[in-house]
Amino acid sequence: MASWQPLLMDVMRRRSHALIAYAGLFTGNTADAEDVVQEALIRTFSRGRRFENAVAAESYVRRAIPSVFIDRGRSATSAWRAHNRAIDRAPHSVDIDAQVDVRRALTKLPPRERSCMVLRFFDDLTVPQIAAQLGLSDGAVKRYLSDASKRIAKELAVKADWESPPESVRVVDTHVQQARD
Amino acid sequence: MENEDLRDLLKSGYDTHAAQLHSGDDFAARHHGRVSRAVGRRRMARQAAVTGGALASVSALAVGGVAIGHAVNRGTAAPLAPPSTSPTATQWASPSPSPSPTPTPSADSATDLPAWAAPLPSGPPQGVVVDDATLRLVLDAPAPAPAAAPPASVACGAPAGPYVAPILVDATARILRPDTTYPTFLDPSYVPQPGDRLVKLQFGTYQADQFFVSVSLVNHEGAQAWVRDAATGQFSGGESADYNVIAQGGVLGPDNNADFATDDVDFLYGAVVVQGGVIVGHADLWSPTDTGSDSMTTALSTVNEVSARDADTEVIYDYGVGPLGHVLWCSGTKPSGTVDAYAVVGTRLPGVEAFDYSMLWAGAVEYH
Repeated sequence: MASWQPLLMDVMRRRSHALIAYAGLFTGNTADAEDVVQEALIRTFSRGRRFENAVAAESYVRRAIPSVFIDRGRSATSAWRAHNRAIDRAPHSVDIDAQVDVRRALTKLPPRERSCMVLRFFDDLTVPQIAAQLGLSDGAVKRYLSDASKRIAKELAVKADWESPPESVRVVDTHVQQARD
Repeated sequence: MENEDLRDLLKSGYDTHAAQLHSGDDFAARHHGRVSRAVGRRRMARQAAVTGGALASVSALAVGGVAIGHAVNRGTAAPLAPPSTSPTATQWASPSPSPSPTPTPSADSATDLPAWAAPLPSGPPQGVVVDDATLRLVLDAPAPAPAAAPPASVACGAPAGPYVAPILVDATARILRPDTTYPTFLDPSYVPQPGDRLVKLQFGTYQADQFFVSVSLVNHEGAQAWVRDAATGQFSGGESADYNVIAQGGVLGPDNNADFATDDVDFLYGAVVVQGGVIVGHADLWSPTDTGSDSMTTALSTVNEVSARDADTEVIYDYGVGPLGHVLWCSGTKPSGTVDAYAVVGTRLPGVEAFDYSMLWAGAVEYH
């Protein structure tokens, strides 16, 4: 067995639910999120990097997910539209309905805009960080964020001010904490 | 939802979704085998590329307005890199052909090339379907390479018959170290001219995210060789307009990963307009910006830009794009009716899955 295989298995067993949930922010549904995670795993472990542990590997996989999503989206534009009709439905509650509405609204965005939005509003990355991760210019990221925020805010009547920093920062990264447990 | 913050909604949605998911054991059980095999294949392919064992050669054949590309993986038997396998000064200078203003392609032209740039074996390529009628060249998705073997050969060959032509361009991918230099006896200031004979184009990658382009010419007097190590740079798009060689680096298809940070890549198309083996013009093609469309769409739009970018050239022949976007080429003509041809060839290593294009070559020579 190659040296990377146990770690790959470890990441898949222990962290896939978090990775799939993260990918789901981009894809809008679990099935495609699983596909994205698989490809992100493949890319990450194909590079020959050495990871100290599953947490370290997971961070690379997470980083690969937006790119994989964008790549997939490019080659399957029609599939995104199908996603709009196949968003996972969760048990109804006010909060969960709101979450589903957000996911639906995100799936209406072009992949790059969606990726920028997730990286900005979920990962709390700065514009330069998003630009670096996606290989875009700062200006392009700002444009994507501006356009997407306006659309999201208009559709959902939520606060989506991409220019303001997050009001709070998670002190404890729960998914990383879980991985350490 | 009024006044709720998108950040909060996204993060709570993430937590909800994660809590709903099955255990990782389930995911691992269903997908670990596939993921593991894919990782193994890509590692093999990557390793082969790094060591030069997957040396691939891309040759563009052109005759009579028809451009045909072929690519053959020469495997480890091929020479790897200069200087040991590069042509010496004598080799570059001595076999100089004597191009006439309107040379006629001949089957012997290929013998003018150094041995290491000789025509590649003909024959039915693996995994390739060539449609003679339309000159479309379609690559089937290659079968996964055996885990312990180098990538299988893939060739995009010219069909036997009237389209077989001398090799005009031989673009060989080589894994070079960044400090690799070409022989200094060659005049780097030489500007290619109409009538020069294009001997060799080289494209390749090194250090993961950098590419190089070199062009070898025998000038119109048939005596002087010229090589330029034209560009090394990031695969991040942009134009090498400062060079005589226009070289666009990138990947045909999205590959926004650590190796090729190419989300906005300017696609790697180039053209050398040749007639009978003599450069008579050029067309340079690229997608100025990635519009976000898929690679094939971008390729089409890029091809269509020819006439806009170079009013003297228009596309007359079609391009071939495989199902994975492997190969494309097209040809141009001038309004005068003089048929020229250029070739645009891009390929990827076989055995590498879609959207992980480890190598792609094409290029353009601009003359002034």
